[in-house]
Amino acid sequence: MKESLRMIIVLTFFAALSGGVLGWFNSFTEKRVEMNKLKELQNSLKAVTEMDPKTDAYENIVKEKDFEIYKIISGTQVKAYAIVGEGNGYQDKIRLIFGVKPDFSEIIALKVLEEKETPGLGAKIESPDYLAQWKGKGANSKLELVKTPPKTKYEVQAISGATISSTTVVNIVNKSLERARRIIKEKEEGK
Amino acid sequence: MELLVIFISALLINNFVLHYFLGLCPFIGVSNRLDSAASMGMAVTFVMTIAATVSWLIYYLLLVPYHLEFLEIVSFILVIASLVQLVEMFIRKVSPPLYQALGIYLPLITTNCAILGVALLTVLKGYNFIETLVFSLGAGLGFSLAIIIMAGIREELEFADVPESLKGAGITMITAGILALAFMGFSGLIK
Amino acid sequence: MSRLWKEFIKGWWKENPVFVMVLGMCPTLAVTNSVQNAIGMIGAVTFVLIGSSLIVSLIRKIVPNQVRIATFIVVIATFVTMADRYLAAYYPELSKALGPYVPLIVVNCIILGRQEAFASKNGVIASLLDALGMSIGFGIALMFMSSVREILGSGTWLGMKVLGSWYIPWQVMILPAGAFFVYGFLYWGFRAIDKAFTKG
Repeated sequence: MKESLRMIIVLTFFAALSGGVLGWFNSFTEKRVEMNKLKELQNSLKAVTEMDPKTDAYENIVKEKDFEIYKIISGTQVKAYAIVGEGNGYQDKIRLIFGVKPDFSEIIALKVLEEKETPGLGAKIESPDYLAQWKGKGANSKLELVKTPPKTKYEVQAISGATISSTTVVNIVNKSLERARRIIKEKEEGK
Repeated sequence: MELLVIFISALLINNFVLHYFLGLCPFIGVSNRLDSAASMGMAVTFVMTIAATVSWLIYYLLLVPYHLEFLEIVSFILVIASLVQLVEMFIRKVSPPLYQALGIYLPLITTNCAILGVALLTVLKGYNFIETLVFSLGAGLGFSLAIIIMAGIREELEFADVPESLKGAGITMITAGILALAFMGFSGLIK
Repeated sequence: MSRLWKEFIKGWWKENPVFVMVLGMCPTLAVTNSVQNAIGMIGAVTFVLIGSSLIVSLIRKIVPNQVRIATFIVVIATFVTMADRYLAAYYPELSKALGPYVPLIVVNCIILGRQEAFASKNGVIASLLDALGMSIGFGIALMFMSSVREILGSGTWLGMKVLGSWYIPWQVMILPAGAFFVYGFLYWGFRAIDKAFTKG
């Protein structure tokens, strides 16, 4: 009886000590982790909407696990919307963010947030060369994937050897645009 | 069907052993004979599914509401250790023949990084309860698949002329590499 | 003094945790796709191993035998959580790259193995040296693996280009399959060299 009691006491003591130490340690690191997340979000928003963190504000109007919408406000005007979308790529999930003009006419820029595609092939969706073509793509009609240099602003060129990864990116954008357009319209009408 | 995607992904495309490198200790140690490999596979699948779902419950019903997420690692590993003890006692009482088949492998499973790995990954990927269940099932079966195939190959390798310094872990890992290459063929299976 | 020195260097070669004892395989294969990731992991493991060995050695006389594994695990998990939170706060890029593999250090057989085999049975100084030696051995193994994989797989070392543009990266090296291959061949080399030296 004494032995079992001793066992329980020792184990509980160390578990409690562990909890205490971790709680104390966490109180420092937690703030920094939050700050890092915030900075990362601001960087992404800036990259895809040309948001100026000193003069513009942003508001998160939709936040789901695989879909988010941010409203970028300059003064009293809506400067842009930033949309986060996800989809299944070749290897695993692809998560990206892109900025769109408030009238949903054009895409401002696109940035890939997470991908686990094949290095040298699908992973090229993160390369500046590939991302550059997304500037100014049309946002009021469905985008199409093509294998040759795009002739209109509704065509997106695939990365050779990475058809599935490229297709997924276009699909995510099309799907997210449609959904975001619907939600924004509902909000406007609801007003 | 998103659940099917999660299942197939864990089973084949992002196979726990050949892609995430989880569960390697038992993989190297127990894959030399088909029957022990099959038993280990069953035991791991069983424990994985229970451990992942229980850890999920602990995380979302206890840690998150009380803002104790930093205790994730400590609580998960304690849960898994106790779970394995309980499962072992339970099987021994309820089904002695099953205990005969699986029993000795169960204690080894506690430090199997695959178990903790599943629990951690489900939180990382933000899966809900059903998704966690499907994911852990797929992961366990994926582990079983890999270890059974490996056992089949290793039984054949017994008759091959393996260089002395390569025997054991060396040749197993090279074989695993070839298997990993083969499994890469499953990428792009789900879109 | 010479006994302490032996405890220190045994982890480098004779009892190298990665290539001789074949422990701690998961992080070895998972994070050696780049030297930077490997260094991050080496740092984390060293921190956890030294911290845990220190504490376990200090408390070894007061922990009842039946709960020793559970207690060791709690100690290890505490250090692992600290390492994980520290990286997430101060090195977010590295933390994301290493992903779930830092928390997985808690089930890394190297750590628990050293507590069970050594720290729980030896004094603080000896345990510290054992932990440090094992960490160095782990570090050596990981540096080899990650250097081979990064140079052959990306043509770079620590992000700096070392092979000219004539070199077409051998993609498979940074993929999971490559990890298995490189380990297998390094293991072979390690054993062969060891054998040659002990025979001759």
